[in-house]
Amino acid sequence: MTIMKRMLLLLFFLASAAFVSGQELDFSLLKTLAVQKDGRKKPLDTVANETIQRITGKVFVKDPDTGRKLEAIELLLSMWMQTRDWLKAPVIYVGHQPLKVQLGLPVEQKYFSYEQLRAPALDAILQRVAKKSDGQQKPQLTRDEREASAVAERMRFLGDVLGLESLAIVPHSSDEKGQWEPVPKSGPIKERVDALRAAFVQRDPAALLTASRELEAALRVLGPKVYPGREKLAREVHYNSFHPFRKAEYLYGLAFVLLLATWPMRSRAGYWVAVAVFAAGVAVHGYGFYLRILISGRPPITNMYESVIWVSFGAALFAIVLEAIYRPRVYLAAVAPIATVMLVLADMFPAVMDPNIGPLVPVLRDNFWLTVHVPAVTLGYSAFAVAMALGHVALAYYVFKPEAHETIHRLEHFIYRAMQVGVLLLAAGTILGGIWAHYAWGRFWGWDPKETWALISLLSYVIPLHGRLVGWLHGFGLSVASVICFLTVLMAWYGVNFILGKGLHAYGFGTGGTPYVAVFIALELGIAGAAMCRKRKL
Amino acid sequence: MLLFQYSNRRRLASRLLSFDPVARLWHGAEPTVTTFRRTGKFLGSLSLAVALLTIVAAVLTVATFYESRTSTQAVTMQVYRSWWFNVLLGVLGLNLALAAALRWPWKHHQIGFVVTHGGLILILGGCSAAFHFGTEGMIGLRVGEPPSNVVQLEDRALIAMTPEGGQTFKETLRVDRCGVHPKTMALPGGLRVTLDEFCPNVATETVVREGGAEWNPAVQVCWQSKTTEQDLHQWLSAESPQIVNVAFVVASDAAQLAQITNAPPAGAVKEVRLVVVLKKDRLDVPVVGNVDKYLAVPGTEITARIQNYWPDFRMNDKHEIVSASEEPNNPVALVLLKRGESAERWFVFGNPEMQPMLRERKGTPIEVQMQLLVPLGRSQLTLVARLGSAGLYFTAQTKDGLKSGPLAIGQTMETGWMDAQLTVERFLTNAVMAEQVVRLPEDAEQSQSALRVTVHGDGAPRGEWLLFGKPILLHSGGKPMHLAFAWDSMRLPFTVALEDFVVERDEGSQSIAGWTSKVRFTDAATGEEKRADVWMNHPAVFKSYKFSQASWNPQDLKYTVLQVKKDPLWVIVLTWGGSGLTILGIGLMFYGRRWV
Repeated sequence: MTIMKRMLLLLFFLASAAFVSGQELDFSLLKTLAVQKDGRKKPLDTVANETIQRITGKVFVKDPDTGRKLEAIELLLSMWMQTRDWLKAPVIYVGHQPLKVQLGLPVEQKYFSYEQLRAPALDAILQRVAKKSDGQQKPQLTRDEREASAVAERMRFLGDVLGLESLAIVPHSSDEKGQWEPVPKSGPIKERVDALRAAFVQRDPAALLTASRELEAALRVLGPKVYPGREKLAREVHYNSFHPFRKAEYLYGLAFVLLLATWPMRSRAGYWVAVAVFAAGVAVHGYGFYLRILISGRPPITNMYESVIWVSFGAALFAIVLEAIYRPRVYLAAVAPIATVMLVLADMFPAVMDPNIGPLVPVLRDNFWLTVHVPAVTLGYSAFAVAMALGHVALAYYVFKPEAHETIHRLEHFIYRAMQVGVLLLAAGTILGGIWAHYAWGRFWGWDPKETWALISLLSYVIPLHGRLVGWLHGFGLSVASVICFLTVLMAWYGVNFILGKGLHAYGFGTGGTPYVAVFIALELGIAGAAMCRKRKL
Repeated sequence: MLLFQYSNRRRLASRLLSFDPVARLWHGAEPTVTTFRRTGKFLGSLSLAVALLTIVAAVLTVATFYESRTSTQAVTMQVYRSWWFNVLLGVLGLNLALAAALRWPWKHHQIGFVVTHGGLILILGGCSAAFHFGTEGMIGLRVGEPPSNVVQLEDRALIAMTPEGGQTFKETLRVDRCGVHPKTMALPGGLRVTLDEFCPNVATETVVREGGAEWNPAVQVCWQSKTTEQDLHQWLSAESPQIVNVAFVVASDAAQLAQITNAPPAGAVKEVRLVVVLKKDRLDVPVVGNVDKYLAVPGTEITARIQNYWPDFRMNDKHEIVSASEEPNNPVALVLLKRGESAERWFVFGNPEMQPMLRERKGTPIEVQMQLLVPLGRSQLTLVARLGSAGLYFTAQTKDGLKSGPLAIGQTMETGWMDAQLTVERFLTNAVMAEQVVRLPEDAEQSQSALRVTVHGDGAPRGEWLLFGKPILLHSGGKPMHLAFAWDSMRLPFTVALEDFVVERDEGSQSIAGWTSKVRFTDAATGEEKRADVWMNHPAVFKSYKFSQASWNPQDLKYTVLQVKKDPLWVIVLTWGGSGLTILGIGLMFYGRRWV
């Protein structure tokens, strides 16, 4: 054996030894343990992400004692196996200052323990909330009351995963929809969990791996027909860590930057790289949807989060298709920032747009129309979003480069085309909704706010399209309309559920985000106004 | 396109539509024809279309915001079903039709536009036809009850019945902005009723006044409390002798008066006790000394824990729960119940009029009864009237001991219940109580509708209130008869029975996943029978009647309400056909140039 070889061998040993001693615990198998929670079976990883994010408002949390950064799964396992007293650990997020004052908590602190928060003062506020919410579809709560409810919710989420008796991980023996049970007080499952706990506490990677494997196998045998397949669980864990929509967001953003950077040079190479990046974004975006459909087993547009993701996908898809047909550069450049912004918003406000996959509300269950009516309407929104994006570009030209007649003229043609697509899709979607309502509820049209606003936004686009025929409106008017009319889409989409809060489409109701929408509306009106002023001066 | 090859027909139609025949008839009446044509052109013009669309969009915008501030009911009556809104839609329909018609003969590129407009007209027509020609009602069914064929309709009716319940007369009423129709109707037995007014919001209230023949004491008191924030005026009488902890009793003579004022009823328990009952099993412990202890309910797996206790519960100025004193004047406890995985937190009250209030629940319900037993006589205020006398007395158990004496009008007393004070406002010795109908403002809660009618033929003509669903007794030719203002109903030509009602829940949780009514239709005439499931978005159809799941009661899982609907076939053809044409037309307009 040559010295060289020996050296290599030694190096290998050293490396592997260092590898073993510094090895983190491997939770990948535990992540795929199935749990029955909130009406469906999901991997422990999903439970961990959902719970930790809801309690702490963050993805990673520092260990309260050591300051070590903990992954959600590790934190959840510690809570579940109670390796420390989590009721005393400051992990529950309270951000609202006046609430902290009312509860007599130190204002500079952000995280509090369950026991600190369990005070009569909080109870008193919650009781007020309960009184106000009694029988109300949308109670008028003050900011303090909303924040207090959110805190109580976070406390409840902590309580839901605390202790071995909390999570239902023992499968029902035969019934697909049967109730799962938590770890029994004694018996083989309990022994395996004890072994797992010991390995976890001692931070022994090998023992943890063995214990995880044995626990998983023991659980799986208890309900072999009921326990979800490994592939299915692994897929959801993959979805959790892959973050397809965030990747799409980055790709669209990157494509936009590339397009802007190469715009002055009219570089062909730059353009094609940007197109490729954008196309990759669309592909990842679509892949995310594909995963979500497989995981939830249903069409993917059932709440605000999913609709935002879907509309941005539709807009990006339209952009890339139209770009492929006309190659004007402008489709991608206009739509990329809008798709990025939508995805950022969906990612940023989990409290307003809940990204978790839950069971369907009864009204949406098992129905063919959901796969036709909703996608058609929301794709209509996408087309209008494209028109709006192009409208911005056109108005920017009017303001900064009004002499570029040919470009402006082309842009207006594209806006017109996008509006047509939108009108066709929204009209078809709304009418299909009417037919469904006629079949299912016995009436074609009932002036439900969602229906009415779909009609209003349809009318708001039909008006400029007709006005253009009369000659009251030309290219510039159409550009302004594409921006202004999108506000009615926003109202039909967001406003009906979050501002009006009445009607049959109640399953999508929520609160929050209103200031952002108000800012957006003001901005859009401002842009349109500025362009109109500028146009008048010319 | 075959249609466009018949040029003769085209020319003929073109003449008809451009009013040429009219012009020939009117020999020389040229100006009128021009006006006529101009009006037609205006009504079918694009400018009018844009104006109308803008107005409709604006009206709808305002309407939806109005709806979110008031109610769906209000906006339906005041906008969507109002004459002016329907006129607006009518003009829009006319504009749609004329816009297409006036462009005859149509050119190839106009096909899309014509098809779209045609489709929209069909939809508009279909919707308004469904409103006027369709049948719509509700049928309530219960598991185990005999099959039913009575459908409650959306209209109201005036119904006459014999005391045995047999219907002898029915007239459907129409209520609109101008009032109720028809205005007058003849009932069997020679009675005649005129309908004077329809009041959508009324309520009944008890009016107490002096003037009865017999001695019947009644005291009007005024309650004041920070918690309720407004004064409450209430009557205490022999009919309603107790409000919270204030009692009203009558002493038959001086001796009994002395007895009551000197020794109020003694309490059954010495201290405040928590009682938890599950069927035969019972936990009964004093509250003081047991706060924050786990207490097992004997014979069950339930543990109870008093997490918090307020002997003298009330809200302070900041709306926080506090205990005003250590005296058990208004005791409230927060009790945590646990059974296995299930846990519940309840507020339990010492005031016997208050049911325990569920604070939160995890897992399946733990069905126990809970109560705080409070020493009686404590903090009790008793008002005493003496038979045949106009004097009023009181006796009060306060923390300073027993107090009693005469009570004057206008005198204010501590009630001992929370911070409530009570002022005696009036004392009537010969009170008469009567129900009276009062009109309420339009937005009043908890109101009901009523008809104001005049009855002719039963003695002298007299006015009566007909409260919705509350029959009145009349006499026609000496025979009693009930007259009611109620929902109109109709009978189906077959019967429906509810065989089962199934509620599905999400796996492993209490949240509801769906509900299904399993129904059986039977046609006695033909012997035809059909079983069907009715659930959300999945109606069942029998003999062209459609049954959809409308509502159900989470408290009573044996009961379901189905919506019954029957549209004439041509209405369905109209709407669905119109829908198809509209979508096709828009598609043709935007993308069809290549093919036509």
